[in-house]
Amino acid sequence: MRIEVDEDKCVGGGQCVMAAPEVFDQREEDGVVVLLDKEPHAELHNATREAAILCPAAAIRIIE
Amino acid sequence: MTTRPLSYARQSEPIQPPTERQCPFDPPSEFHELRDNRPLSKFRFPDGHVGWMVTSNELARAVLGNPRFSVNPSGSPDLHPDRQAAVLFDAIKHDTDFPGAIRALVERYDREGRLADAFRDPEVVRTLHESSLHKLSFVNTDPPVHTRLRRILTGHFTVRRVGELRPRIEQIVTDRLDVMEKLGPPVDLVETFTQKLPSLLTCALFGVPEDEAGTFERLSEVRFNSDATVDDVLEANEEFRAFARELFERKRAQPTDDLLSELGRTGEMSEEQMVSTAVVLVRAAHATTALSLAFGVVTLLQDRERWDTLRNESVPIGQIVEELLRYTSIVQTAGIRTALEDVEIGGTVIKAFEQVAVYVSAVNRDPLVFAEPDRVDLTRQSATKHLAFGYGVHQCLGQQLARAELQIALTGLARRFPTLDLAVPMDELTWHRSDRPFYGPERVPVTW
Repeated sequence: MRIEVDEDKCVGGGQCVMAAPEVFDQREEDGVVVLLDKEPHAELHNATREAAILCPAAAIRIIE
Repeated sequence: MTTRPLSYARQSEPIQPPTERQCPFDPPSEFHELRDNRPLSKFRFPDGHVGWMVTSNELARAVLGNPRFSVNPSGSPDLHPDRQAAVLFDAIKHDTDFPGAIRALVERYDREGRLADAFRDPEVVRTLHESSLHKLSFVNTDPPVHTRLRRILTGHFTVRRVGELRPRIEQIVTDRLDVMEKLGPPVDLVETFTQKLPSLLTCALFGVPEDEAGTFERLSEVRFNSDATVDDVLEANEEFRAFARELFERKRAQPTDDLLSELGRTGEMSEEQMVSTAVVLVRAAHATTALSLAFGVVTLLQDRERWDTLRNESVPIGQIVEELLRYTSIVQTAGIRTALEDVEIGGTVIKAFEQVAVYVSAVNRDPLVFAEPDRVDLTRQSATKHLAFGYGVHQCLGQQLARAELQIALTGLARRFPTLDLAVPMDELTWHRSDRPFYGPERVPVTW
């Protein structure tokens, strides 16, 4: 699984961090998504998919 | 995964909004049939104009996530559009950059007694969409103006930043629990606890003394009080704005480490935008959090097993709060969206400048997403898919803060008063009128 995030779309909601804190973080100054792990391990895949579904700005793209 | 194509939707008769609840805990039962058969329905707004209503989770995301819908003009469909129009008209009158020809057009509608219609006029909508009306905040603007304004604030509401605020929230909760304990049972949980938390926290965020909390509460209430006249609302608006201006003055004279001081320092917002933003932040935080907490407690007390689950701490508090957010859904409708161009939603074309009301309370009981949706299940895994905070680029800015408040308040309440219960029979509780934008219990007398 490979992840791409679109920083321009991100609205800093933090849902991704809630769902998969090992994979996503937020920038200090404006809360925009920071991708911690572009290719997370298998045990993080479900959490990552959840993060993508929850993102209100559809800013997370998962390439399986 | 809709059950049938929605192309028939344009041909149907517009429906009135179902507003009467058969049971205080559930949205009007008419929503079941609507959601199953016509999740996009032609709809008659309170002022008589016809638009659309959305009641399914899937279509709610489709509308709220689509950039071809504007929030300008926005407003809750429960509030009469005349009131929203009056506030918008007021903003236009004070904005020197607003194109004179369009202002004249709005004034003409006003003279004809049709002000609300002005804000469905294509020329006006297009102008509003493109303008960065200096008095407006991020709530009433679209990208790209919205993106810039919102980004100035998001750093203050990140998961991490809210985490840093937790000790402060815990302190406020402890103080209020002390007050309750000192008063002794019975007390009204709303007056002593749920209404106090958000305003006290706002004081902390804004760096103002706690004795200002009452002012925040009072000025927030008017906007959502259906008995208030348009003049009452405009007057409260002005008073709130004057108060915010005064706070910014204080911060300029003596800057401290708080949200208002930082807003003043960025220099990225006009004075009027900062004032609008401050007002929005207080209003958005106040009634919503207070009601969510009150309704949440009542829901937990309705069935002793639920209260025990909270008390035992056997289920993570985060999970409990998500299910309560879904079930209580105190914000019944998202802000009205106006189509900027023809948009296809689920097989039906919504035409340019038609308006859509998304009924969040119905959406959060969608059986296609939540099995047995009318049942409270504190361990429900799918609860996170609720739209209690909305969806799309306007999804609640303060959602992480709201979550922290609810989690800490509920945990604190259960630990301090493990035998907490209602002091009156459940059917004696009174609930907000269906024409208010937020729904929940008015008072919650409790004992322990």
